[in-house]
Amino acid sequence: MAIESLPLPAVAAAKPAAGRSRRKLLRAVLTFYLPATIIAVLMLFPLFWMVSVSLRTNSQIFTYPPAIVVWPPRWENYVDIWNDPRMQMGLQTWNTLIYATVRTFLQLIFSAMAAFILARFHFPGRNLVFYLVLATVMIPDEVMMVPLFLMVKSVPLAGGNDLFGAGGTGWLDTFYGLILPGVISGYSIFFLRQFFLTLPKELEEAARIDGCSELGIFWRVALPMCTPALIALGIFSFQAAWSDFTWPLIISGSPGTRTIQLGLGLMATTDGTDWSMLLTGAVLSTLPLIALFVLLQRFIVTGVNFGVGK
Amino acid sequence: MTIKQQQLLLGLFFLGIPLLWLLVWVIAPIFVVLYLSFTSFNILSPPEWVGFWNYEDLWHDNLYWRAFGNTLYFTAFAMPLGISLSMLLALLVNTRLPGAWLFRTIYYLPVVSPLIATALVWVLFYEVSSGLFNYLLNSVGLSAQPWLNSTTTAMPAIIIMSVWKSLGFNMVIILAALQAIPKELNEAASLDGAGRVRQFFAITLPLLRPAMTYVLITTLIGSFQVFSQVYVMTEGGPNNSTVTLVHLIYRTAFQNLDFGYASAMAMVLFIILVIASFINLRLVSRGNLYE
Amino acid sequence: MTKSRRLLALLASTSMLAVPAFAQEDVVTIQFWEGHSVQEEQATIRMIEAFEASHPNIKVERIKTSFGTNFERITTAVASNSAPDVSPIWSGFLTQFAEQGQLADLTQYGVSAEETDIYPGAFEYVLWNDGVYGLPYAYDPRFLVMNDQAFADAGITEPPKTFDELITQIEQLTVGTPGNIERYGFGLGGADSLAYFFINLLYAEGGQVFNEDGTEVVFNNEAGVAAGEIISRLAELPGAALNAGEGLRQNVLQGRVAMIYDGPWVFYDASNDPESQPISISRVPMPNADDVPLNFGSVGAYVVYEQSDNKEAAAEFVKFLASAEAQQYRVAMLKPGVSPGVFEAPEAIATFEENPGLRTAQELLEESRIFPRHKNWPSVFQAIIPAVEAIISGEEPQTALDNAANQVNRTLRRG
Repeated sequence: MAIESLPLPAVAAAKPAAGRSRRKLLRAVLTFYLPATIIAVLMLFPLFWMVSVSLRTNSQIFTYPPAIVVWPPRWENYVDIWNDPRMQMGLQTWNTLIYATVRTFLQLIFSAMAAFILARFHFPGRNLVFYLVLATVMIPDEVMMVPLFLMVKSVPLAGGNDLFGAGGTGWLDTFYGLILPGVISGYSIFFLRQFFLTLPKELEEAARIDGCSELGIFWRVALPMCTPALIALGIFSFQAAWSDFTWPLIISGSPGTRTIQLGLGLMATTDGTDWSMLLTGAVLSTLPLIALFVLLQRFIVTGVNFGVGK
Repeated sequence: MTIKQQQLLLGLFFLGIPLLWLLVWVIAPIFVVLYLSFTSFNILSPPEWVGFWNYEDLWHDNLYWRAFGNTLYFTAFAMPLGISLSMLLALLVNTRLPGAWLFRTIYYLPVVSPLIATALVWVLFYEVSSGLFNYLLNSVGLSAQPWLNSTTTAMPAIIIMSVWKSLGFNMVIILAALQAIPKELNEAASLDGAGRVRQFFAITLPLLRPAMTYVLITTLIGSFQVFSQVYVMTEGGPNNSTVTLVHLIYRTAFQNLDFGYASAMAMVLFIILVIASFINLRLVSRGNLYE
Repeated sequence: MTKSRRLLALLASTSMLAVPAFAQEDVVTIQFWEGHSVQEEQATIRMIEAFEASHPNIKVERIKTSFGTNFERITTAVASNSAPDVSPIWSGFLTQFAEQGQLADLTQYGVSAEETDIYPGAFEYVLWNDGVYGLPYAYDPRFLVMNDQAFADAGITEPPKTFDELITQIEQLTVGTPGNIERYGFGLGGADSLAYFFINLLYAEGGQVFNEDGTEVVFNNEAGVAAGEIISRLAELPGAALNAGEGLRQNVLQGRVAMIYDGPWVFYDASNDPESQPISISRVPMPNADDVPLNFGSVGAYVVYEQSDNKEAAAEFVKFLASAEAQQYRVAMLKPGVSPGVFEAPEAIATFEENPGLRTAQELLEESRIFPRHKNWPSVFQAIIPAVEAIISGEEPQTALDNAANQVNRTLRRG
């Protein structure tokens, strides 16, 4: 690709001489490893506490003086939650996986399409469209809930509804109702637009000269160059869907569409909260998200080399 | 097909589909909320038109303005604190040293952990009679603090928790943007004798502008819509010192079943956010949205 | 187990006689949403088993539902005509839903508005406009929970009988200095408890939350201010933790707090914690306790939705759940029953014998009263809480209550 056109001096990375490697290591420890470790301990401490509390009985959670770990740890909590008939953890994890994966995938495609046009094309009214998209995120979700709910219920010709959306339950208690209303988000269009803006114009033009179609520019130039942003957005969207509570709460009815957050919600009742089960469930439900981030975070970093340098 | 024709087709298709969907599932409901804000609506029976009644009432509602003040307070501290710390973290982990991925992951962990669980852990820390913080204070001879139980300390306590919870989010965005900056630019500058601080302000920061625009505006909107942590940790108390706008809207809608009034509250918040974001956008991008 | 099986069979055979003859032989399935805790769930499961055994033509489909903390799930389901046949309801929602015509009036299905076995305090909750719009399933009194060891350490042998005695005992029970307390004398946890405590005091001072016709709140009159002053007296004690959060129940079981204001949940927690210390319970001394013995209780009810297709069967189910023969399973799970009839029910008798504290709690229900029935109760409740919090942090009771009353009255004028 036509990166050479960027006016950058090529600088060869200097190979460190053997004697300097020690000083370099010391420098790395002082400027990176030491501060990074201190911050990591601070950031991790509440999470460590969360895991520690998940390994206790309800009565051990509120001991005084506070215990860092309670011995012996109650590993049974992790078995119990899996067998808890209220939770149906396996089914719920599966449902959440479908919900989060499909919604994220659709959101990435649609947002990338709209963002590409908004960032790279010139046409009258483009600012207006952009502001409109931006404005959609400024109304709190909590008030959108009731109008959206009524709309999902009256989707025409679905769930026993007639052509005018009356008579049946529409998309209530279905994955359609769960997923589709949320596949376009102003946040994600805005996010990707900002990244498409950073692509050098020269790239497009070079591709066009090479005979690439407009669609080809999007697919083969712009999208690959935005891999880090796409992955970051994918992580965010997946996680947002994974932790969503209120929307699934009102849309889902039967265990077949119940997500993991709703299962956790069952632990908080009018008769008080089952803290140890709630925290055990919370720790378990976080593991997939951590795994996802560990797997994908390197693409946020290395994905950039598609375009620049080498 | 000419390039122009291709662009027209692509533009219509690429922008058309998402916009249509947005129109149906996001913009239309916003208009429904606008309509409902002029009605008396309790969700259970059909709305009744009441004109500007809700808005007039809102003007005289002390609690709404209290919530407004609390929300500004939250935003004024959580936003600058959160963004500057995320920036520092991103700069710190923007390195190829081995193990950097581990630190990135650790800093991101609070973002992925469920809010209700992490909020509970912080509530345990803040607990007056048996919390960790007061235990530590007492064991070094200091007086116990009321934390979430006092009108002066409750909001700061929530701000600290919120900043901790969301640092990793903006860090990842800024990191992704930092990674997109060609290394050569900084190396060239450093050959020219520019120090690291100067490099940051002269080269890095301007190149981060599109990402920072996003970070600033979404953080502003997010802070103005702060809700869950308040809901779980204090429910607006003590003495309404942590009631925020969205928390009040939610309570009005689903606890008091006064959905018309809640819609009016939401519309006012909407207008405030549109204005604030517009100003923000102008300031950050200095009038040029496409830089 | 065999004992309870036999009992089940016995109940099944006796209550058969009481079942109204359904015209058709078809089995009706009713949908029952619930979001109960483990404790309540176990009682409910046994109740359903007993019900299905005695009503062979009705099946209960129990669906575990997270209602959301504010009932969003039910509100939206009712609005979209997809509500279940039966669900629990609490707070001001019953009145609100009844007023909107969403709940079935159970007087059409053989429930009398005048005559009932249920405690009058709890039954009052389901009455609206001469109709009965549900039946209570839970009635939880508030009382003092005392750590026996803490009382022994302080040399106190009797629970406080008067309010002044309560104050003196809190001082005696407290160990440590202000800012570094080793044992709190008294704990009153969470925003809800604060409001309930205030309402209890308000009732005891002869006050009311609403005026006669429910158009305004009057909790800021003399009685309310007197109640507020009592709370500010308590708040001045360094050993009184008045807005403590989640852990109070465990704290009193572990001796970190000597005495708390709490409800019957403490029995279940105590039975589940092998290391918990012995506790006793006692009525909360009220300022005018001699004239008006009264206590506060919170209530929850099951309702039948007007949009249900099986209202008759659903009403039958709800009636059964409130009966003493069903409520005894609730007592077996260490919660009081909603009618004095449980004193005669075998499972309850056995439980009361093992757990005299629970019997005391059950007895307190006779003289308990609930929060007022009003469709705007949630917003009133939301205004009382900050007012009490303001009093605790030193504001004049009159000012704090006036502010709250003004805020609420504005809402009430909205209708």
